[in-house]
Order: sequence, then C-alpha cells, then structure tokens
Amino acid sequence: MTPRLGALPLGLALAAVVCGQAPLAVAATYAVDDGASLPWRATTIMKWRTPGPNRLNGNIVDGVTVVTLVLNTAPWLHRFGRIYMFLPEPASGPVTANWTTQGRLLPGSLVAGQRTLIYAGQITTSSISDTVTMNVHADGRRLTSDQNLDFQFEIEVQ
Amino acid sequence: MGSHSRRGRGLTVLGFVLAPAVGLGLTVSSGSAQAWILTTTAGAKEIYLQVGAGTYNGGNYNAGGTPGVNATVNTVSLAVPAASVGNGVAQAMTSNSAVADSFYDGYAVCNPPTQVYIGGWSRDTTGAATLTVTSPANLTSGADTIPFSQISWTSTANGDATADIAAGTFNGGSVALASIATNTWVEDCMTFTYKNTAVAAAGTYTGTAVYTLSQP
Repeated sequence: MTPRLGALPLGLALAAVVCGQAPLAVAATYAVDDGASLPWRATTIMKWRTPGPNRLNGNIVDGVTVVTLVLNTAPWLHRFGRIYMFLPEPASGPVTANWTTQGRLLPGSLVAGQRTLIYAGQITTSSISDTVTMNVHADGRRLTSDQNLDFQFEIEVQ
Repeated sequence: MGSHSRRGRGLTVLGFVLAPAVGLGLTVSSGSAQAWILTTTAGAKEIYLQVGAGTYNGGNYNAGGTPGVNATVNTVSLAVPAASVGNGVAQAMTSNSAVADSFYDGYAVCNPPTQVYIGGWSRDTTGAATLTVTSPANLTSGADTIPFSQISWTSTANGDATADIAAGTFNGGSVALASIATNTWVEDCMTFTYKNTAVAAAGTYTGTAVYTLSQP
C-alpha cells in the first residue's frame, strides 16, 4: 500500500508543473540577416600603430572603417531579443575590434572568436540600423595579405 | 505530513528533469544572407637605416618620435705617421660622428668618436631585410691607391654583449652585415681599424662605403 500511495501524487505533481512551464521553456538563437548593411569603403587600410618597431616587437596594425549596419529583425517583431555581434577568428591570428555607434546599437569591443551584445530590448521595428565606426586591430607580422573579417549577428529571443 | 513529504520529492525530481529543457539554447539558421565582410590589408612596408648621424623627429621612438631623413655622410679617418707607414701595426681609426644615443629610447649605445652607430629596422611581412655594405676596390689619392681591404671593423654595443651586425673587412665589393627580422630594431657600433700593411705614397686617401638595407 505504501508504495502505491506514494507514486500517485508524484505523477500528478509532474504533470501540473510541466504544463505551467511550457510557454516559457525555450530560448533560441537565430542568425540575423545583415544583407542590407552598407560599408563606406570596400577595403580598410591597416596602418602600423607605432612609427617604428621596438627591439623585439611593436607589431600592431590598426584600421578604421564606417559601416551602416542594417539588421533585419522582422521575424522577431514584438518579441524581446538580445542581438550579438560575432567575429570568427581569422587564420591570421588574433584580431580585436571596438566600435562606436549613433545610439541605436550599443558600442563595445570584442576579440575574434567571441561575441558581444549590441542590442537588448523589445524588437519594435522590422529592422534596426545604425552607423558604426569600427576600429580593427591585428598582428602586423601575421597579417601578410588582404584578410576578410566576416562579422556576423545573432539574436536570442524569448 | 506524508502528503507534504511526497510533494517535496516531486518538485525535486521535476527540477532535475526539466532543467535541460529550460536552459536549452538552439542555434537556428534563418537561411538569410549575411553580407558585411570587412576586408583589411597588410600593413605597409616601411624601412629605416641609420649609419652615424640620423634623425628622429619629435623625440625618440618611445616618446612618439618618427623617423626622418638625414643626408650627413660621416667620415672615419686616421693619420699614419710617416715612420709607421706599412709596418703592419694596425692603427685605430676615429670618426666625426657624435652619435652615442639610440633613437629608440635615448640609451647611450655607442662611444663616439671611436665608434660609429649603425641601426635600422624593417616592417615587411614577406621576410627579413638584408643589411650590406659595398665599397670600391681602393681608397684613392689622385692616381695612388690603397686597397679598401686594409680597413676592418668590429661590432659591439653598450648593454648588448651579442652583436647583431657582423664584424668584417671591406673587400671591394659587397659584404653582408645582418639579416634583420621584420619588426625588429637592430643596432650596434662599429669600431674601424686600418691594417697598415700597404706601403703607399704620402697623400690623403679617400673612398666611400655605402650601407644598404633592403627588403625582399
């Protein structure tokens, strides 16, 4: 008798709570289309940071560009979302980036291989755009030829 | 009591079972285009060589100075007493260079006038730069000559026991002095010696050695 009396309430409790949790259960991440973005220049000229190397190194190159980012947020309209900028690590080694914005997106910085939050809040428009001034820094010894930095964007929605 | 106890166990199990589902993160491609790719270039080639006098504008490198142009051609010389000409006793030479300090940080690398500063760097991602010196076959005084190979040099620097730039002897052609790795500042001080094994007529013998730093 005792085992059967114990088992029945446990099953009821599971069923009740699962039903209550279901609408809030899954947060998903989606790639965001930035196909309408418009860079002001096709190529960013990298310049040595210092006017000469030191005896052992001193090898950072810097570049700056401006891009009008246009993120298609239509699929998540009226939902709460967090949008991240992600930069895959290039073959030429460590790259860091930092940027300023006009205020619609968040300024910030990231190291290639990581992502950084650039928007958090209700998605109220079908696209989010901002003019971003992007500074990029790399190891000049390893950056031996033109390199493509494939910035990507992803959204977490609830 | 029994009922409360069982409900408690039920919630504990529930948390364990549902935790993965609540925390689940899904990465789903929307299948849409992603367009913005930032293309960066390699840093531009740059090069700097200083033999004797040089110029850095705005202070030393570590204070934000930038390399400049200096057209000075320094002279290394000696006067051999008539009684000693060609006796095989080497004679120390001296220079009119007053450069002691490195433009890197102002450190007193050399001891002029007996030593002549030589330093340089290269920014080139395709390979190391090559430092050479070329000289004509002879020093000349009118029609009289002394082989340039009568002059040799040693290489050293204050605070650096290992020379980066090779010692050697002029040979009437090109002599390799150093391979300078990209983004590396190399500097030393040359001390010149006249071998004094040549018997030559009285006169002032001159010649110009040219130092070259070249990138691949």
